[in-house]
Amino acid sequence: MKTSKKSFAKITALLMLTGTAFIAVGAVAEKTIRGDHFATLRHAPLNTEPTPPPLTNEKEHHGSLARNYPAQAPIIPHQAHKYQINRKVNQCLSCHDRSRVHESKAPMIAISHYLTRNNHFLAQVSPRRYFCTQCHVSQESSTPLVKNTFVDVDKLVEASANKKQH
Amino acid sequence: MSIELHVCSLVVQVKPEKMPDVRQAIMVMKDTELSVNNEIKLVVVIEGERRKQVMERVDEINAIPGVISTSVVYQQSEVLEEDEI
Amino acid sequence: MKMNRREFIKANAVIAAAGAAGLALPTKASNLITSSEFTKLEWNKAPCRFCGTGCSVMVARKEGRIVATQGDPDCEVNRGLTCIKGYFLSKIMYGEDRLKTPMLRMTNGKFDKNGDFTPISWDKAFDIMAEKWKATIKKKGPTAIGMFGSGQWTVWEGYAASKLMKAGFGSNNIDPNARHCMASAVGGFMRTFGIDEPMGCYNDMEEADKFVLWGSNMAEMHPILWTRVTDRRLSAPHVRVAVLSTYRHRSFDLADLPIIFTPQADLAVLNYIANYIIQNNAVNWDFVKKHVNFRKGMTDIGYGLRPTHPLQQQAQNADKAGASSPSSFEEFKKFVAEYDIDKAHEISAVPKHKLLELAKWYADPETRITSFWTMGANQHTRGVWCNNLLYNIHLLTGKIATPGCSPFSLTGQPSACGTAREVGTFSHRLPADMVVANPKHRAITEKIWKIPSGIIPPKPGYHAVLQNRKLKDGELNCYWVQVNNNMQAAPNMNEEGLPGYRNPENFIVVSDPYPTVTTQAADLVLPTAMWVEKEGAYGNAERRTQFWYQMVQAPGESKSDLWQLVEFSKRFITDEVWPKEVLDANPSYKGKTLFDVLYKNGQVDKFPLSDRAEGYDNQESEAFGFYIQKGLFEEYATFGRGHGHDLAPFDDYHEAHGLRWPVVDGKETLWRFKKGSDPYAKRAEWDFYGKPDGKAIIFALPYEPPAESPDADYDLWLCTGRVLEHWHSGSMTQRVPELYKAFPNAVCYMHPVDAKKRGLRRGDEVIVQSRRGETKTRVETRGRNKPPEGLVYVPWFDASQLINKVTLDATDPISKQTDFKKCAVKVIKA
Repeated sequence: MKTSKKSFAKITALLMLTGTAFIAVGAVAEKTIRGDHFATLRHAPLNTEPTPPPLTNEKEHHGSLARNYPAQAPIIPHQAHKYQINRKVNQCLSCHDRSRVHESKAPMIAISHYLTRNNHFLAQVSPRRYFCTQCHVSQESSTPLVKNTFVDVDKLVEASANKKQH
Repeated sequence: MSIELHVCSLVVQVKPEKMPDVRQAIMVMKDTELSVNNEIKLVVVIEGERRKQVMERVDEINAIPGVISTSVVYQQSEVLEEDEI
Repeated sequence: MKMNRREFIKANAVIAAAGAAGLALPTKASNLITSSEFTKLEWNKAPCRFCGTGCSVMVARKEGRIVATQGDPDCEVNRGLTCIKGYFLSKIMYGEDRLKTPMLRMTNGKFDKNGDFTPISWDKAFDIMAEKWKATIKKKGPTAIGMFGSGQWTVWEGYAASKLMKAGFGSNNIDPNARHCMASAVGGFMRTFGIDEPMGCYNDMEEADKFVLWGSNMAEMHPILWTRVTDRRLSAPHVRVAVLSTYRHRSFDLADLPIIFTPQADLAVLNYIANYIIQNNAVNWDFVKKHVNFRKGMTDIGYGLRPTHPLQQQAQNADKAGASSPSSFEEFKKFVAEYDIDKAHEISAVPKHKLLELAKWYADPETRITSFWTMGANQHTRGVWCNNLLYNIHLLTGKIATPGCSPFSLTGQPSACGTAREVGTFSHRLPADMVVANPKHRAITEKIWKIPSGIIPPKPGYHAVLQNRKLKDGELNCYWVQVNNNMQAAPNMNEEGLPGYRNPENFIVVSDPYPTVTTQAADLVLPTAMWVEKEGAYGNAERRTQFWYQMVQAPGESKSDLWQLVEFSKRFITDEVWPKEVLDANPSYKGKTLFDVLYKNGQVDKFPLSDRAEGYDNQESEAFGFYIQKGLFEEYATFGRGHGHDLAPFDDYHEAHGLRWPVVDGKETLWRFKKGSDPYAKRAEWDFYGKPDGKAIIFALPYEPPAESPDADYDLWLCTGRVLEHWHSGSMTQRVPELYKAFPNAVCYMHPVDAKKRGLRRGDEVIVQSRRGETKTRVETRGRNKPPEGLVYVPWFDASQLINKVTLDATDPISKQTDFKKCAVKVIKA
């Protein structure tokens, strides 16, 4: 998982930041909003038919995508719609299984995936984790309509550490 | 030269009266670190160069008298370069 | 503070495990930043905000914000797993466009139905609401006001709402969006067993030999339950899975017996299986003789359309749809005899060898079989029948209420069971399976609520679809919507929903955390706290009740639905809303506010603030001066204790990771109706105690055609539904970038041959059109859903592509639940 070095460097850099992390909380003065453009995921009157955006494709990223917190299931950083997973075959495992990662250079699936419901280790991937796409998804090249203001815990920790110091 | 690093953390459920014994037993195990605990739960971190090695440690912990169950919460494997070992 | 990568990974591992165990980290263990004062995370449990599975998650807070979530390893439902939506729960509250103040449509400083949304204070918001409510009640009576809630209300919110409507305003016009989701399941349970909700539990998934999905895409809609089925299928070599649907979807990836059937033909297939069981001497006679009665249901019952609709006028028995008459095994045998394999094949187009194999699974006495169903069976103009027919085959074989033998109705919403059904927030229901039409039930309720008799009206109120019709007709004029997005969710938006909300005679209030399609149709929008911004309780599909604490503050002036309901009640005195004759007979109630008689009644306000757990805010209790959640819960729990719906004491639920009712002597119940596992089952080995004689009912019910089928003009079936990555209308999940990018827009899934016939290629812009309306979307000929020729599938999560402009508001005449799975459309190039 050599490429993760980059993301590691990023996280470390974040941790080392001496700090301008500002967390916006509290009431914001609201403005008047047009009656027929209120729904932010629509931005059109309800009796009209907006033109749907063109279909997008799954994006290929270099390396892995940052996680929002340690226990988040990693996002698939590559196209995946062509990989079949059914009762007989699981094409994700053909790269990510323990026996294949040496060759494929793909990250190995986590140890947790070898545990049964009752926490016994199995020699192979636990059947409860078999359908990868229930937890892991690829990303299309579209832009979200609404921003998300979730704050990474590292930034909060930093901010409070800095507050204390100054 | 590079090595693989496997790290996993687990929550160990322990019979309350056995907690000191279990902590003692884990403390002397190789590649294993104790973290926080309360009366019945104990957090343990295991590291190793092979996945199997880590899994064996988990089995050993499971076998300690007084341990009710173990559940692995987090696992990460990385390749460390020479300067990082 | 320098740390190498090995230490960093180990520190992460410790943080994750300590979080899962609910343990605080001291300085030493967390060497990310040197002082634990900064790095300490506080963890507690909460049920997931999304589907009816009811996974428990551990939630971390820091500096007043939610910073992480992970599967709860101590909860039996999910044992540490969550689906992709659950992994991103931490982000659902942080969409940039959270509403922060009440917003009223105004022009030049005055309310104007066509004005723009303008910030106002809570005081002003309640002023105008109270003014409209009072004027309407005075002019038209309580039937002109209504409320639409949901199975996403917490238990106490639904209870407080039900009290406010039924006991406060004296109107039964309160219904949850669970009507769109679970009503047919409720109808099925009440008709067959006389008591609501599944007899089995999720443990059936580790016990069954065969699983059959009847109109349920569990792989996407109940992913964590699907992990348990998958686990069983792949770990035990003898286990088999059958998946029945009108199109191919992800659950087929595990299917040993994949079955695509013609829409509505499930009724014929189910009757064929009953017939096969009888013809092949597979009836469990011991069970049937002791525990089953037979009845014949009314037929030709219409389609729940407006009475003026030709289909309604043609129906002979639309006014007595739920009626039935006593029957016998011999009559039942004769009744199903016509459903032989030829007829079943002719109606369903399922190959005969598949029908036969499926029938054999049910007939084999050695096979423990679990049937699952959700919207395919419930959102069905014969949904109650479909539920009854499913129970028929389990009852004929005695495969019920024992481990692995389970007819299992799955729920859609996190508290469809806990709130909508158990609390009884339907227009015809009261708590603990009681109904408004029964005078004894009203009397029990009025007594527990400490209100005079004669307050709760005997006539059921308007159900979900009828509410939209009555809004359009100007008979329902003051309307409050909480915890759902019904403009996007309800059928036939063009002809009913939208004209109803925009009718100038009506005043529409919508409470929501975000500006949704429904808020856009509203007149007043109230900013609302969500999930762990309030203390809550949900009940999942296996009767498991789960609690959580308020962990963070809601943004701006947002308030919980509970606070809104209870605070609004202070604006009314009994004299303004209760019948004069009732007050004259009970003068001590005169001049009291609804807050006094409903919530400050000596019961709801019984528990002091000091009962609250330390370290957690409780916005509502602090506002009202007593532990209101506990008071509401304990008053509500008195309805069910000792009557088969026993809930544990309030405080127990903050400790336990969910308990399945009935909880008797501190013990939860896994399988109901079975002696030994259910303390209420006493009279016989199986005791269906919902019925006076302890016997469940097998119903003779035929195949009847759907309300609308494809024809020359509208030549395709339209089926609508959800996708894995988005919860319902997407109002939360579309605001999480990772989930948005996983499935950004709705598409029209279509067979490549159908596309080719219409000159369409993947990605083309198309109009999906019905007799009622149209929407624009794009063609998808590959991907997870593969419809057969003649059927298209369009999900409804996308606010910019409102597929419910196209759907038909036909409902099951018994349950009043809409059929979102079948109507006729055409698809043309835009």
